[in-house]
Amino acid sequence: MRILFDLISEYQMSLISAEFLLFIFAVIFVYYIFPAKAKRIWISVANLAFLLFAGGAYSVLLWGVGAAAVYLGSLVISKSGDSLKKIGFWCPLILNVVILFVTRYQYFYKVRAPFGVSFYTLILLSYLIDVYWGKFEAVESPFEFVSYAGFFPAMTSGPIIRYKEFNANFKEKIRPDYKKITFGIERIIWGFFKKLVISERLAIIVNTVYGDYENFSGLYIIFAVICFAFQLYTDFSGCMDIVLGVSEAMGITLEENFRTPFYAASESELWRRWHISLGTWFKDYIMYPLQKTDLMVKFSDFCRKKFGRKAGKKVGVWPGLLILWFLIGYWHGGLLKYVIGSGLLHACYMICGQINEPWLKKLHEKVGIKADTKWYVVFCRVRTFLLLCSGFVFFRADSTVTALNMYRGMFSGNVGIFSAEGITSLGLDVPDITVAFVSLFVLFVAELFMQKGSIREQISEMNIIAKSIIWALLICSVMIFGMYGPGFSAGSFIYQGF
Amino acid sequence: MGLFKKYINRITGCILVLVLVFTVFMISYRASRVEYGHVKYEQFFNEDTDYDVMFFGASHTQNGIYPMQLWKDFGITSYNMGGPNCSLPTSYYMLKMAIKYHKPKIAVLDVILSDKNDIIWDYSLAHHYMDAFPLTEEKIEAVNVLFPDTKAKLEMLFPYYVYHAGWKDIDGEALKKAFSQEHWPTFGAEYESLISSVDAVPEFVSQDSGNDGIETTGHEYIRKFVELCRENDIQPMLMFLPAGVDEAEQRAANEVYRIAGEMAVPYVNLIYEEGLINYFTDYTDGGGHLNPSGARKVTAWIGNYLTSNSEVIDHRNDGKYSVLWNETYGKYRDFISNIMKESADARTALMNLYNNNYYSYIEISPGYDKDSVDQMLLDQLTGEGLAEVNTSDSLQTVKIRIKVTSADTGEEICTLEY
Repeated sequence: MRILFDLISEYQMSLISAEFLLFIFAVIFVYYIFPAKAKRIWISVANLAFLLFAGGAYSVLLWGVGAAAVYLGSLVISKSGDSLKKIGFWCPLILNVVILFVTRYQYFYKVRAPFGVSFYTLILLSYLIDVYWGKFEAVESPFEFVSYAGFFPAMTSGPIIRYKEFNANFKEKIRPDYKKITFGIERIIWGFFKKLVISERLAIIVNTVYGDYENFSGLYIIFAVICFAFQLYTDFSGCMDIVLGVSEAMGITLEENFRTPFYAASESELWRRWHISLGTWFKDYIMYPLQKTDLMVKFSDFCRKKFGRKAGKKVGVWPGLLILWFLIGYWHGGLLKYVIGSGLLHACYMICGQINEPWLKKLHEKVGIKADTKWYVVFCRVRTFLLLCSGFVFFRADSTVTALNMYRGMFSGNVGIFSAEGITSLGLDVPDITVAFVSLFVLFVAELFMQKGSIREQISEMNIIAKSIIWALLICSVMIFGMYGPGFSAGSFIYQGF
Repeated sequence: MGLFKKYINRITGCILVLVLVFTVFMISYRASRVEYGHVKYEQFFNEDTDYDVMFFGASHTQNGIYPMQLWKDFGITSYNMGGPNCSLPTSYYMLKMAIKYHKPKIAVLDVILSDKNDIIWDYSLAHHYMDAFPLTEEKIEAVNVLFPDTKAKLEMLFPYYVYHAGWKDIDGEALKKAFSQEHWPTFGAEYESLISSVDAVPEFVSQDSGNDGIETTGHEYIRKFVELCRENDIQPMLMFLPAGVDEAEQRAANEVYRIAGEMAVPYVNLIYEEGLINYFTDYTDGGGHLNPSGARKVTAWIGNYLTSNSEVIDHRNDGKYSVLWNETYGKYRDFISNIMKESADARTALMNLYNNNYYSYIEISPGYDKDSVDQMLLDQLTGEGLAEVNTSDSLQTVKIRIKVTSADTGEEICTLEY
């Protein structure tokens, strides 16, 4: 008991900690003991406990204020006339946006951001807006609301869950299902593999180069940017695997947040595969409503008249696209480097893609390049990956100025990385570099199989010895090669900082 | 039948995964763990024997008492539980964990640094003594008290959390060690073959100079140690091994007389045993830790004391003990002989030869530049009848030649030349 008390009072729980594993084991165990009606109550309790462990009473308080406002506001919307409806909508919306701005972007005061504020604010607002738009009636049961609004697996780094999809999981009685529990556990293990074996290892290279890019110039910078792309992907998607795995083990299906994004052949496709829930949230609640405003409708009509129907349709969307991507970039941290690196730069790429599409199509026809050939698809995927990386120079750098300096540094002609001394000067020794490359290869192969469908289904259809060996090897890889323990600080996910 | 087959498959799959993971875990754990604690405590957990005496304390105890010598010269069965940087609170919990496996007749606690209020002195060496103990209720209690934060607690209870990072060092040698039962044949004692003299014999305060009755955490745990012994029908004893201590440490040791008096516990403070220790020849580090020469003297003193003042029995003719202990003594003799043969220089060799297993023929060339410490070592050997020393003109490049023979059989063991 004493150790448990110490855990509560002194620890900030992380998704990749032994404490979190014990926590979810306890939560899921009790969850299946509880009858169906009480499951939501138990989830609500677990949500509050997690928020307390992860962010302290301060986070519980601020989340509670925002959530209570949305809960009450949504009830007002559902049960009142038009004038009160607007109050029920705008008051909680403004309150939550203000909490987000004050604590997250800290323009006026240095105030600690409550745990998960960037994510749960969007979750709360999506609920409020959907109720306001009449997509569903506000829930009356506070447990039903809290179980959704503070769903603990999603608090760290998303996904930004929608109430309708979340609630659909409870339409039928949730029973312990062997397949869901084992698939959930398998997914959690895969998430740990990505985070502890790959992401944490690559982080050392990235930190070394980004921390001293004047000396590690030229190809070092390019290599580090590519490593950061994999680091960020395995970190974020690894977190998502853990989140979705925990949910699946509880019989709750959440929407995927990543769909093998490095297999995307265009910018548009990339952002339908990367951090999907964030993109769809901004599209559904910002961009599409914006497109329907009188101003934008008029602008679209103007573009159609000016540029023709086809081109005009595309141009008419561009302002909305730019606003969308500005906000997505801004959401990441309010700094220019985020606005550029994970925002406007990609909007520009998409716009350029649309502008160039007609003449590129003609060029391909003239030259005889078929867009559906294997090599062309590979070329497009590599191109898309490099465009993604170009944004990551900004995303990871300390500032926009640093990012621009790093771009300049890329052309210094330093090719020292190709030597044995060069590659091992980045903070990893030969054994660690080997593990990094082998595990990236494992990831690549796994995602190749994922193109055909669920890899867990494919493995489950293998013979018992083969699938046991695969999962045992994965667990052992995490156990032995995982970057955890004293000397490692694998305590947080990158997106947890947002 | 289909459903039954499905369940069998599921159970088999789970068991297979668990077995594979557990196997890899055990191999990697054993291959990457800190060896120190396991080679030291392996005998304690695995030998089927009893220990009449157990010694607890820090590294001074670990280096200062030789159970194998107590066996050979007095027939006393004992285990040296002293560990590097074991504080008094740690020693208390070591006793608590140890008596779950073996309950001695007498538990001896070295009260070094009893003036400290720290629960634990140095976390960096904690794995050396904690890891050998299996995960039990007593270990959980010990870890909870001794280690301040949750991460440290988890690390002590599940040391693989630390060890796994040593995967890069796992090679053939490490894998071989993982499966071997190799351990020190010393029943816990550490044999440190080094010699480093003090600059000057320390001055000692009078025995009644203490710390004015100031109670410390060290004192609290001395009392707890004594109480725990009495609750388990173990006779407690306190000791302070001779060390070239400063005045503060001497006063701390003297303060323990008060506690010993209050609790009616025998206490031997060996810094006041005149002539017991030679501060120039008997230390590894200039007055802190005893080397084999010093440890043998202290062990002999302790053996005599226990024989005269306690209920220890001479088990040398007891078939229940003699087979195992004599067998281990044979391995111990080989163990210390190997160390003696690897003596880095003449002074270290002369120090190692202070052992009644050896008789040495020492030839010294006229040009051998021996100092006062070398002379003390030579005098020590001749005085105890363990060597004869002659000057030899025939030695050319070699300054000193030592022919070491078995004191029992006269058989030559080795010849050392420096």
